[in-house]
Amino acid sequence: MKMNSTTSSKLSTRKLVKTLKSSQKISELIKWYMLKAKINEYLPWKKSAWITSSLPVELLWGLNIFPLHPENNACISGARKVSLDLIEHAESLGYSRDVCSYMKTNVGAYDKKISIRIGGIAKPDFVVTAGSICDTHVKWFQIQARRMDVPIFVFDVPHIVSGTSKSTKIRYKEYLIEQIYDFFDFVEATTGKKLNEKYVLKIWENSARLSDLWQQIYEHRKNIPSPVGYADTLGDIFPLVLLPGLKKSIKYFEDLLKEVEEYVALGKGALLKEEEKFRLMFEGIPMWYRIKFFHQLMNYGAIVTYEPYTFSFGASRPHVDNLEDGVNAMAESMLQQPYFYNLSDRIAYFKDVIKKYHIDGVLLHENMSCRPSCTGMYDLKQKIQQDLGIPVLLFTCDMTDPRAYGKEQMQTRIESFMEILEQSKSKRLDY
Amino acid sequence: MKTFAYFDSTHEFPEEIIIASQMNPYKILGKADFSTELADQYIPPFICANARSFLNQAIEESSNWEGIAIAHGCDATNRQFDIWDQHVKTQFLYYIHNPLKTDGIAQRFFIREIKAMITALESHFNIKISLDQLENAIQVSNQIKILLQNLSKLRLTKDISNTEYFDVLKFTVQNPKEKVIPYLESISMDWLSRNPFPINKFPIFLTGSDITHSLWFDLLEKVNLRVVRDDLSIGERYYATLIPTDEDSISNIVNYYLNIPRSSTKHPITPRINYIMNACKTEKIAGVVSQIIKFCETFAYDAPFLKIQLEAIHMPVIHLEREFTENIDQQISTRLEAFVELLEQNQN
Ligand code: SF4
Ligand code: SF4
Repeated sequence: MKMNSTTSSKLSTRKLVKTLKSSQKISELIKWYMLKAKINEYLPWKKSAWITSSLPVELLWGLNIFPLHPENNACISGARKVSLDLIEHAESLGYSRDVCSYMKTNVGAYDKKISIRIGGIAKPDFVVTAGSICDTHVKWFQIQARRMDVPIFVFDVPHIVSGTSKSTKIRYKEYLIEQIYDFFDFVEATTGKKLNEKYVLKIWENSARLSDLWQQIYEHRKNIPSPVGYADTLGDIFPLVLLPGLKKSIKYFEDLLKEVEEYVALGKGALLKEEEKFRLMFEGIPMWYRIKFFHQLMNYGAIVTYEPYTFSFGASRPHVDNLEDGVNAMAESMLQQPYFYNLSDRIAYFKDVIKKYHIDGVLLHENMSCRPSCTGMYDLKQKIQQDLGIPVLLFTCDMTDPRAYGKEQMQTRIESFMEILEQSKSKRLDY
Repeated sequence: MKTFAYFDSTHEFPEEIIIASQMNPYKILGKADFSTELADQYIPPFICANARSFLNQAIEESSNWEGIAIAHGCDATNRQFDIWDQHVKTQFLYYIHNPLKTDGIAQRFFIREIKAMITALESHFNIKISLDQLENAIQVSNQIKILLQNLSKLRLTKDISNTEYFDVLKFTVQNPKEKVIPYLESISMDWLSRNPFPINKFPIFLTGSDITHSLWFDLLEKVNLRVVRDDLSIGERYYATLIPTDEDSISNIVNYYLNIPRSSTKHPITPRINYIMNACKTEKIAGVVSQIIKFCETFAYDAPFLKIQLEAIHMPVIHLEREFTENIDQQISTRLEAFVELLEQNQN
């Protein structure tokens, strides 16, 4: 079947839609966070730190340190379509076209002192990072700590490669636990802030509750039609990224869950049941400057109903009632997250999701900025296609550098993928 | 002697353990023909070609090796381990985490990590690696490092081409150590008898991603840039420091690997930068060539800062991104020639 001219322009017809009413309230949380960040900047006794997504942000909340998140701010710059200018600024300083565009967006945002509303970020009291997901997290913060002249703490997280033995995992966890306590000492020495055990337990409790709610929302995404698509979840993760220990976030997710449950009870979805033709899994960070891509997929009756990226931020956390167990759980979560699973775990994880979420096709974002997450994608693609007969589209792009997005090419690729999905689905239904 | 191969992105793999287990530690550097086709099926083209060429060689040649270890350096090591696991045929594939940091916690962890590797080797190969063997291995390793240090010094005073230096290093990291020692001794005799440093050449410091083929050294030679100092892993990083001998063998090995001028893949980067700056301040260096192989992020991130530091001491510096190819990139040649012109002006 060849797409006709009406279908061929589908990737550019649908307007941006927020499917859930509760999702719209995310802007209130974001505004609250931005206001807090601003206040922090002017009160010398308040302390703040930059943190990367490779670390649980609860670490900072528990120590009464306000978290600033350069990756999150870079997403905002991307979504507000100012990232290119910032990236080019970093490139003018000598940072290669090939290095991660989040890092370059942050360098530009910081140097140009842009407003927090479009991704600006203040100087922190220190920075904390880890190499679990990528080298960039370490290099980026080394560079910015030096440029801003602030202390840096780096967590060394060993990698759970395919076949890592149980005893090795224990050794790695012990190593991380030692580093977590070392970090507490570092924070005290740097800012004078001490760990308040009672407070940190509260943060962990709230965080565990938030993750539970996220997991429940995810459970409902198994339904046909799916009540929530990526167009919603990419914004919904904000509380998981930055505000996991706060009551406000819990309230937000409770409302979200309630609405999702209502949708499911009524058989409603982000798309109408008869419209939902293809259920997709999307691997990778979205193209922030092109969020409408996810809305526009819906024109083809396609809904992204699972993303390891958003799932990772709310992966389940145990409920703990003492410091030791909490640190233990934190160390475990730093070692293993779906976003940086090794290849064999990643393949098994994808296969499981594909079955449980009734996935018809997989989109793999081969992100030019993110070499580590792209490594293994060819094997992943091959295994999914070969073992499950599920079509996979691997496309090359970038999350904040719009120069990597070829509009025409993307349209053509998506259209042919939809045709493949159509054929594949009808074949599978024949069985 | 049996060969045990390893992939470390710079100088992270504790090869003394392999020497102690009576095998030849062979550093995988890719094949001479720059081939990556087999690896390209599994690794995207925008990941550094060094690592792809290593995988390519492993897919083709792993049957010659008793086993393979990958030591953590850059993302290529841990992320690609899984691809090696799927596509390289070997009875023994091992991953060892060389810590990012050098503090006491990292030091204690690395001791445990090395002990675990020893246990795994002993169990797989049905051998016993004794303390005596470890001590001997350290001695051998140090003997080689001292020979290399002496050879390296000759680069400043004698006519030793870039390629000759590279070939010596490559031989050292790939051959059985009992062959390496007499080989280095004979090279030493030869280099001592060489003519003095040629007046038409500019002595330079070479830094950045590791160079795995002599072609690039040739290119520098052609434009009259003579590498007299460097901090490459198939270079000074490999021999700049000796393995201490004041504690037990495993602690000594650990202390060594945590205290060499570590590369951009580790934290902090101060030792690497200081190493370069010290060389530039204390030796007769006319300029610095900082280069990365395309898509080598860790070194790319450090390049602007290094450039600023060098410029602050008025040291001429050029930064280049090179492709992995058998053909000389004309644009790079032209840039290097322009750099040489600058050095000539400085000289006058
Ligand atoms: S996009 Fe990838 S490389 Fe960049 S910071 Fe995120 S995980 Fe690291
Ligand atoms: S050249 Fe760079 S990216 Fe490639 S293996 Fe070496 S350190 Fe890693």
